[in-house]
Amino acid sequence: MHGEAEKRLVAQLLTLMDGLEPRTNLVVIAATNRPEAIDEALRRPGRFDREIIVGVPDESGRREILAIHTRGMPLDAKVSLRELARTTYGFVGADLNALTREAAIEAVRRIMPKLDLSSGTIAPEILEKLKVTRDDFLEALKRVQPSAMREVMVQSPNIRWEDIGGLDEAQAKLKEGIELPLKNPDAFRRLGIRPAKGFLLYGPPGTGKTLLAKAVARESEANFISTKSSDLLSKWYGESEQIARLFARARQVAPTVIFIDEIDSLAPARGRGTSEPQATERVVNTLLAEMDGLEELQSVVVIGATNRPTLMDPALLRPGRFDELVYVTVPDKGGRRRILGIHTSKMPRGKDVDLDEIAERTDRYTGADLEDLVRRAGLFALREGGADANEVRMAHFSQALNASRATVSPEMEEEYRAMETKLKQAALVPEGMGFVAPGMVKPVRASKHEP
Amino acid sequence: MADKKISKLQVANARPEDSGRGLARLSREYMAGHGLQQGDVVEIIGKRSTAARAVDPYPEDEGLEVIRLDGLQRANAGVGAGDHVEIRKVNSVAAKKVIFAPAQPEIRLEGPADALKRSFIGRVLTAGDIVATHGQQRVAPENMPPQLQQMLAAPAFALTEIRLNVVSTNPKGIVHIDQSTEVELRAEYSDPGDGRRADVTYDDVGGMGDTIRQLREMVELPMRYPELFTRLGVDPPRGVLLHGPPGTGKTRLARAVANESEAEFFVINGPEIMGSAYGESEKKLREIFEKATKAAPSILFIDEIDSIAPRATKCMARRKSGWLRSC
Repeated sequence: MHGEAEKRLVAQLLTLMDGLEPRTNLVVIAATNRPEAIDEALRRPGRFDREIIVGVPDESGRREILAIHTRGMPLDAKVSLRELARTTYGFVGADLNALTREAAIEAVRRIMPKLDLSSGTIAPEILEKLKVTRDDFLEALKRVQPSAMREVMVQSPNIRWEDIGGLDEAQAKLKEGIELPLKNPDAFRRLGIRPAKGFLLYGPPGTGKTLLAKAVARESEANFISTKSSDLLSKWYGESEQIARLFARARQVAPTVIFIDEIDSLAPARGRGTSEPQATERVVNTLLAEMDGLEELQSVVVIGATNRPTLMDPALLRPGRFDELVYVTVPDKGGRRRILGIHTSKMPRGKDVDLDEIAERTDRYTGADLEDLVRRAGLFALREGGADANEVRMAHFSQALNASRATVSPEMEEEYRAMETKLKQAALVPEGMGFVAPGMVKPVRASKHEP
Repeated sequence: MADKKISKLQVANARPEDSGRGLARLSREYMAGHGLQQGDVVEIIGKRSTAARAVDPYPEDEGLEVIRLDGLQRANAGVGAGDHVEIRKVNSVAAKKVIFAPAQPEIRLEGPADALKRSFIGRVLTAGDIVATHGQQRVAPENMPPQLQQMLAAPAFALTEIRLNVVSTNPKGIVHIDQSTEVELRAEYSDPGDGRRADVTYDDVGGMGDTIRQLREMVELPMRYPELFTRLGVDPPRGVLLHGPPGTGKTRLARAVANESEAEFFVINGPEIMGSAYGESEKKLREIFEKATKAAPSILFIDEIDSIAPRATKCMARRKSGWLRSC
């Protein structure tokens, strides 16, 4: 497909541009979405020597664009462009245009039944009342997808700090490590320090690592790209390109929080496995290159989550990569009380239900365990009262308590606690190079470049 | 600056939310010095002339000799941001009849002229103006005279913004629309003449203030003031490459720049120019360049340049084998 014709055309274009009289008042503007795919000769001085990046709009940009597209539109008083701008992560101008058009069509659809199509004209009083409402926009949002993000899902999570019970230590660490730099990048620039690039959340399963990542993205008003290692791994060659693409997207829609769940399976220690050495090693390498490589990560924070941090490649834990280790522990009593409060907020509780007492009796329960407990209590209430059960009493909770147990054993907790120092040390231990595992015969040459 | 003789003001861009409202924002000092009240009609004379209602300035403009106009008003007056215009207080008369027609060739309009009248009530117009219908303004028009508030709170005409050309008014000159005005809406496009275009203005590209500023420096400045560059002995930039993800408004931006710098605009669509016959596409390219040079000042826009000027072949072949990803 790339043949003689294109070559001649490029040559012609170059000749024409070079041949222009210096004082001709003619400017050639070219546009592309693949700047890496055009002939370098075109980008030499005197040709297309100026480049302007037209990026994905941020929240205030989206608000401006929405204002432009809704300029001639009768909007209902409840429509808040600010709210729309906040929820349309990753939308570009064309998407926002489509969104307003869809919303208008939605409004028209609403009045369709009232129209007398045979008369050919629309009664003025119907036109007068025709307004695009907030619901129209919400309906349109379901249909219009952001085009910049077709490949990688970007979400705007709606979990706030107050939806998380306990975990105060981890919250504080994430707040100062992520929310602060993403919200005030200038403060860090002024002090000449680099915000942390990556956070590794580790802890027993069910303690709310994903929830924390979502909340931090929401509270720092950043985009949130969530991936699982299974999304990024495939049996095909070149899978590590996926990661490169993920990071490229993240940079485009920055500020972004990239969340990689179960990161241990994506980036296991290199040079240990014998059967399939290359597949995941390349992934680790790409990840390392993206995180501290030449391309500066600006306003992109990576959060990894794992419950088996010891299986991860220690190189990922060195400074400049996952700088901060955040231990997400099982909640203490106060935390459990708050979690119970959150989960039972929509539940009609009997007067005798004492959440403090339940919190007292649920030592080492994780957030997921507590959620399960509440669900079980509700089920017991249903079982007892049948379909018209209308409250959950303490007795149900007691039953649920007997039926459930903490997933985390004291030994597990102890082990995780001890892990933090071990992990940091492991990152600094020099790795065995290549195939020269300990105990192997020493190679004849010290280096392959020596004769 | 109490000199009453100064009636030249520098044009600046209005904020997006003011776009299409038919307002001109002037500093209080200037209005007081020229006997203007909020809501009074002023004639704005640049290369052409148009009219607007004077209102209080944005807080940051207080005391500055600027007039804030939106993109369509700038086009109507034939000026760009940074140019100077003459301002004159005038009395508009109620129009007996105003004829509108769509200002975009691809649109056919059929609608009740009465609704249009309601939506345009209080607006000042002159024949030849391009105006835009607007939605209900929900920005509270703080401390403005009631007649202005009424004008801004007028009901919307359609579901989207429609640009209309004022074909003629009776009587001629600067008029405003009131209850007794007869409004006629023609269905077919009519050419505004004068080279006015109801095209994209800077008001219609949102969220890229910085990008617009850069592009203006590179393109609009040399177009408007070529003598500046001649004196400095430098050549203005010849080519600008816009790149970014699809749908971010690269084409729109180029159109806006061309329109605002009053340059002729030529478009080459990358894939379209590839002709089948030998030498055909080069010929097309040459012709467009010739036309653009003749029509200078002009802007030539090449969309999707990657399709006509892809990288050299060597890499492409290797790429298939998957070895040279960085290619």
